[in-house]
Amino acid sequence: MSSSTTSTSTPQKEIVVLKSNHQVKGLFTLIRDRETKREDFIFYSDRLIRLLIEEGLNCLPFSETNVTTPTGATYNGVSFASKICGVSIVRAGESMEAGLRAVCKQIKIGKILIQRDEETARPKVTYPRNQIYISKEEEEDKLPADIANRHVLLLDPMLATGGTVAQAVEVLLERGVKEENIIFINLVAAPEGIRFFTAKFPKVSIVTGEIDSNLNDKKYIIPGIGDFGDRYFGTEH
Amino acid sequence: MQDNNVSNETQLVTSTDVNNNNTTSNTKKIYTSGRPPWYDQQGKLKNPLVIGVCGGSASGKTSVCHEVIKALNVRWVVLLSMDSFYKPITKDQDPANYNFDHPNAFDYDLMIKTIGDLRQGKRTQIPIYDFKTHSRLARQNTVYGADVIILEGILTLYSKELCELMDIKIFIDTDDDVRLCRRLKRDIAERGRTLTSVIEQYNRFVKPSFDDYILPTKKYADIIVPRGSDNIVAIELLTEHIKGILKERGYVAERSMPIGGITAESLPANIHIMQDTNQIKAMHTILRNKATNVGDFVFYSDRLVMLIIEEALTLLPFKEKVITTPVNQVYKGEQMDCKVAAVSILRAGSCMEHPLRSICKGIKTGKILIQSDENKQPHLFYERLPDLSDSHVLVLDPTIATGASSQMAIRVLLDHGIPEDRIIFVSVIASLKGVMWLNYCFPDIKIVASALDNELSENGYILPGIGNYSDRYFGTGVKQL
Repeated sequence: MSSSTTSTSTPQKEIVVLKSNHQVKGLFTLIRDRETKREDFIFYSDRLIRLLIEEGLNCLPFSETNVTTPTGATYNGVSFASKICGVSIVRAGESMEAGLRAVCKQIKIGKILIQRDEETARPKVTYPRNQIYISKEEEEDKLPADIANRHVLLLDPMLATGGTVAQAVEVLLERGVKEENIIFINLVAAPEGIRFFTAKFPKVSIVTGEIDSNLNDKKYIIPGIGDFGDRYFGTEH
Repeated sequence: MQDNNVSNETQLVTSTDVNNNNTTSNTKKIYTSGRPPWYDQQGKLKNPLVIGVCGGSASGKTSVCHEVIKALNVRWVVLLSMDSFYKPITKDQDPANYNFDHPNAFDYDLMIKTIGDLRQGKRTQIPIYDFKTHSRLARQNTVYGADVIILEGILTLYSKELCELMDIKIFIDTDDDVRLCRRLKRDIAERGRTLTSVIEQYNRFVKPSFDDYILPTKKYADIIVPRGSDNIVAIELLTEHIKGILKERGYVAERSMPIGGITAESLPANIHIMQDTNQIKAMHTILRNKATNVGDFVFYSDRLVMLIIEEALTLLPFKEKVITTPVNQVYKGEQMDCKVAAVSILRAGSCMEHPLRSICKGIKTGKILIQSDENKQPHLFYERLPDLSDSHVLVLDPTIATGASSQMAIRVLLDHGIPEDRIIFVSVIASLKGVMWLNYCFPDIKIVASALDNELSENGYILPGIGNYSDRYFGTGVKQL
């Protein structure tokens, strides 16, 4: 039912699924349980997100380097070889920012808000692109100015249909980010979403916690977590 | 009174303390240094050597013990005085007319139990006898097992049962006149007593008891040492004999522990070294770099330790748990199936507590302070533990170098009744030698570390290593080495 990487036929590049062990399974059990209180939901989501971010960072390029230890010996190490930034998809993606900051000191984080267009019933980028409310200069401010030269950790906890995240990637590509420099990090992914997204952007790396069974007719992930943003920010009805 | 006033509290001395004398408060000497477990080549716990030292009042028993301990140069020696085992006197007994030199004044049952427990390497409580009130104090001294246990006193050879626990029985045979002279000198000069009262007590209790009870036990002694600590030849012979027995029993110095061709690739199953991902390696590169400042060191240490703790937690028992998700779907999950507590080995272990608490909400955390002396030998200075009786315990110490202090911490936990298989030792960097030694002594404990270094320097530092972890984390220390 869950974390079954083998059951999905995903022909594309790389989908990194967090290595399943008792702890990871235990964390998923806590956050998927509808009885879990919000403070616990936040605490255990944060723990899981930290692990996912660490996993995501492993997709980045490294270069070898030697350092001298206080004992005077040489340690053959590696160092981060690229500039990175985070981009969270508002609102649920913002729940992953704390985890990102806990792992990456002083990281720049851009934001993208994508809303459902009531006329077309399709996702539409509201922010940073909405010409009505935001001038061109302000628009630039919502993402790091030099984002084109950076690797981007794109944050959104759920990959359901993949429509929203695809829109977000379009924004990034328009801003000059290289497709292969985007790492999309989420907690739970539906096979339908993975198929849709990877067909569109085969060079984007995907890091996920567990791959679920399917989407239901309301496009909810099954068995899923529910509305991640609502549960994290306490806005469920 | 007798020998009683030598000190009002138990004298517990280890060999190192005899040499350095550095932890002694003004008049009282109370050393409760523990020891690492003493194992033979097969990993079996060996009985420590028990030596009984007997002799009349002021015969020089303590001096002989100290000379032997110095000459032995064995790390873990516990010296117990029979004085600690005086029975509390009852209300209707007048201390002035109480015979402290009579065998009935001593609690032999407790002595037999104590020596028996120490022989098994168990943690043991030694009563503290208060000579002002002639009762036992509420607090007790904690003694951990030792390589050599010495019990000295005027009537150590009186009980047959106690004698049976002793490997070597020594009688210090000092001339009566010499002993009386010493007593007079000591009691008058040091204890402000009058000549008359000392002689009165001597004639009334001390001499009759010596003749009736102490002297007759001489025949049970294996070795009789005339003239006490002045007898250099006797002490030399005694020391050589004890060394011979220790060697025969398979006493292994820690440094000479053979690793036996083990490499990082063929580690025993209970040693878990984390997968060397680029992230982990990059964090190690920052932490190990001597140019890294405190701010970065703390940040990357916390980040790395969180991952190590997450790894350690995966080794705990879990059970299946089926839950319903907010979209009314069944999810077959898992749930931790045990209680977890932590014990940090101060000072460095406390560097790992913050990341621990950000993963395990409200976890109970005990502390143990173990300090290594200049010979890299660990000494237990402080322990404050929560109730660990039904918990799995994460022991925190960022480095395992020789493994000596780690061993001692584990020993303390075992003494608190925590089985080996409920202990997970969590570390950032371990030396191959250190983890192998730990695994050899405690095969059932699990060890988790994020890196394994192959070398250990002459002075016990891990190579290439990380330097002094806590100095780097807390920004203390003049220099790193």
